[in-house]
Amino acid sequence: MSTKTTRTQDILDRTPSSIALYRLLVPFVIVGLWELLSRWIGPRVLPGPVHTFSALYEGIQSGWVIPNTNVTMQAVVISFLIATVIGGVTGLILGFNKPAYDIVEPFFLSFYSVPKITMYPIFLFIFGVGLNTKVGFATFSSFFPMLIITMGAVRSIDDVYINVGKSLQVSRYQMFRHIVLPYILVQLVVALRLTFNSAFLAVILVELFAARSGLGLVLQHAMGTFNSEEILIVVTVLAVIAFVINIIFYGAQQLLEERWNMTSDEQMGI
Amino acid sequence: MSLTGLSSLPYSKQIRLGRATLLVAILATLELVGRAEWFDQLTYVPLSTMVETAYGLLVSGELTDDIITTIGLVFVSFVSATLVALVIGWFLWRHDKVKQVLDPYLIVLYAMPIFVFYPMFIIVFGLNVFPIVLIAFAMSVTIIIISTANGLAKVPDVLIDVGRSMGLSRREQFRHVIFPAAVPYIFTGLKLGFVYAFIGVIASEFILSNSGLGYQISWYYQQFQTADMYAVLLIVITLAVVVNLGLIRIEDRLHRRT
Repeated sequence: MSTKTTRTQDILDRTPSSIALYRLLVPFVIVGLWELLSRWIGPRVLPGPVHTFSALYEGIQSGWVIPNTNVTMQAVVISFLIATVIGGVTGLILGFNKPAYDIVEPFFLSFYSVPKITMYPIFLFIFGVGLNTKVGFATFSSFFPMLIITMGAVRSIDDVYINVGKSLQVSRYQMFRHIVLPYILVQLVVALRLTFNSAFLAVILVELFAARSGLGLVLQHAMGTFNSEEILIVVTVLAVIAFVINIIFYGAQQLLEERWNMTSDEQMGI
Repeated sequence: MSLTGLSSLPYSKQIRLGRATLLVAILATLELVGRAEWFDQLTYVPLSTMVETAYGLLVSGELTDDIITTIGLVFVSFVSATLVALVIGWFLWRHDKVKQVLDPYLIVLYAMPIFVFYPMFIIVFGLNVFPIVLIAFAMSVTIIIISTANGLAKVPDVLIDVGRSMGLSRREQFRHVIFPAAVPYIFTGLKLGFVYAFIGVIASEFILSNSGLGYQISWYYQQFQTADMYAVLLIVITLAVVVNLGLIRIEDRLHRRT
């Protein structure tokens, strides 16, 4: 893949400076397009970037942005951590057990395509509205990418490496630390990114549907009152958070890919 | 798990048996949890009640309009996303510099919670099908762009050399060599794109709309018609699973051929 070499150079700061420069320009182009779109549709329906950022500043000053962001992100982080641990451990166990893996794989893959938000009412029925319900649902929904990628990664380990380890009579810990982990590390980073994104989306959807606080609730309220300014503030905050976190994970993924010549799983499309 | 007694069977048969057992176990659990009356009738109903209610809803024609709406919207979103993505993917493949600049943004865009734009679209376009199609389109398009651009780039040079030695023109080369060779990769993107279009439509309908299967689930939820809610949910899950299994099967076949 021709992009591979350029990625290496990118990491080692040997990218042709024009590409790095253009990359930096992209966000400005997006903000410019937003401005044009706002003028075209009319700033009352779609406020422009300048207006939105000053409104965001006011929102922070008047004290509704930060607390609601905290509520949302708290739920996201807790669900992400629980889903990572449960999904990761289950993925490792299933990955190492070939028959079990072969049996369960189609179930998990096909359940991946179910719009899980439609199952949220079940959580509401059983647990009622609250932080636990939110976290429970987001954990449930982000558990799947973690599990699917982890078990797929383990399964893709070449038996040769495992056999070498066995013939060297390494301990279980050594096997994991020196053979399994290096092999699956990149895919684990991909899995973490997707798990985080699933948890993030799940929490927002849940707050949009039924919640007592959080950015999703603000969004729902603003939608009811046709307050496009507030909607854009929330969208901007969420987009910036998602952007920064994804860039960090993506950077880590590339570093690993290039430093240790690892590759990620193309099957999940990433 | 004790497969010892079954070890005379070939491995693939054992796996198939295992899958069937697991499926039966899941269905039985869904039934028995309802029968055991751990939950009241407003919280959970047994699987048999769900199936019965779903059958009733389907036969009475109550859901026909919603099914047509949902499937139609998924189709429109997915097809338009595919067309746009194939063109953009092809463009990025032809212009490697542009692709290099945009690559990290495509990855991030793919991961963005695009759904947060739904309220904005409703304000701009009103509460109709357009915001739904736009969300499903946006959720579906990115992964198809990525897989098309990467798939075309992955075509081995040998194939291209062969085509060249046969004196194919650029256009023939693309039509008969490069594109067919990239199809398995592109198909993985199409499969995921379809899944996201489906999720996008159902989720939009569920959160705020006035028709469709997703809408019916939230409507029945709000009306405390628990059995109906589970029935529609069962229809949605069945639809998602069946379509996805079909796509996975086609994908396996495409990949095995290469």
